[in-house]
Amino acid sequence: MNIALIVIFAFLALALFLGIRARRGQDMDLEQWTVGGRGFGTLFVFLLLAGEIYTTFRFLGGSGWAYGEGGPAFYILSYGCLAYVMSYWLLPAIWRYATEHRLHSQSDFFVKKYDSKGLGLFVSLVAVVAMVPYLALQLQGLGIIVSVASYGTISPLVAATIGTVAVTTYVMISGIRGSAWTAVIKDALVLVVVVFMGLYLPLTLCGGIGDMFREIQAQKPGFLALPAEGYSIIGTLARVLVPVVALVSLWFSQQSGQGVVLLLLLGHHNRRPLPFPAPDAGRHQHRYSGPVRKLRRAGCRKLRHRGLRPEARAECLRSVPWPTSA
Amino acid sequence: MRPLFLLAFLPFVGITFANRVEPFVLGMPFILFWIVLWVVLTSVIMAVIYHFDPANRESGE
Repeated sequence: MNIALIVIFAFLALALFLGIRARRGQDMDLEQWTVGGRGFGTLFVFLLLAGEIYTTFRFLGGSGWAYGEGGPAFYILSYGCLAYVMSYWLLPAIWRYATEHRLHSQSDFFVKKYDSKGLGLFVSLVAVVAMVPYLALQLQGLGIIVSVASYGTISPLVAATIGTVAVTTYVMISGIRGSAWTAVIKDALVLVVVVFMGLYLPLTLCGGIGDMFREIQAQKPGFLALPAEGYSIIGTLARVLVPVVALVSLWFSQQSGQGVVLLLLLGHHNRRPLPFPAPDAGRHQHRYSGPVRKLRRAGCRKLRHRGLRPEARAECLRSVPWPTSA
Repeated sequence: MRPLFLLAFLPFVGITFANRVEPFVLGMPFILFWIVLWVVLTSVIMAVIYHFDPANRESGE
């Protein structure tokens, strides 16, 4: 067993451990599973959003394209930047609406906003269909990277299979918290590797980043700009804007991706709780107004007057369902 | 639409108007420098919009 294998499996174990441990201390209900109980802080959401754009594309597609095509690869910088401009008006509005109406997934949003179950179902189907090639590409990329990094000891198919099993395991167990915590490792690792390679290769091969660009310009003049043919302004705009729209919709589908898988598993679109331990109703207390809480408590106090012990009263409080809409 | 929000169109226009390798700025080919410049400018523009957007006032929540 070579050292690469040990490192690969150590990180796999770390990802699995963090992903499964993410569940600890949380009462798992559908809201926890899909949206982390709406309790993620600003910094965590920022890290997730920032890390989301680092995929296997950074190692394979991005570098391959920069090597093969040169200048056009710079669009990678522009489209992410422009997509975030659009999201300023889109995402907070959706977030506020979804929090207000306690929605869990993208299809929930469309069902509620447009009052149409059919539209929600259609959106779910589109999201699933859109996720399949995306996941397939990512897993294929993962297979290639692991296969190369392990000096061919692990075949791409085996690597993709192990990856799928690991991701499915921690997502089933910990939901969004699982993917959030493994994303933290992934983002940190990708950033370290990208910054290291981006500095190390130009420094050792050319003597510096500026020198590298000058050398490329000397050997292939114009390679670092957009070519005169084939990349018109309209074509470039399209190249930039299509990924912008795609990225914005990807946020949507990533938000809902796990929800969609869940809906498929349950085979039915409603707020049925997960086959996990029952949600603790007390946790939702703060969402309801004073009068609602007082009414519930008053009801259970009456039971006590009839000779129920305090434990029984607490049990009663737990068993009374909260109203479904506050 | 508030006039302030028109600022957000600037990056979409600005980022596309450079296609040359020379001169090199800070070691980067000019087109790369131009795009990086606009990435930074976009952050500045969005910070300005965020600051003056009434939707982000504490009392407006």
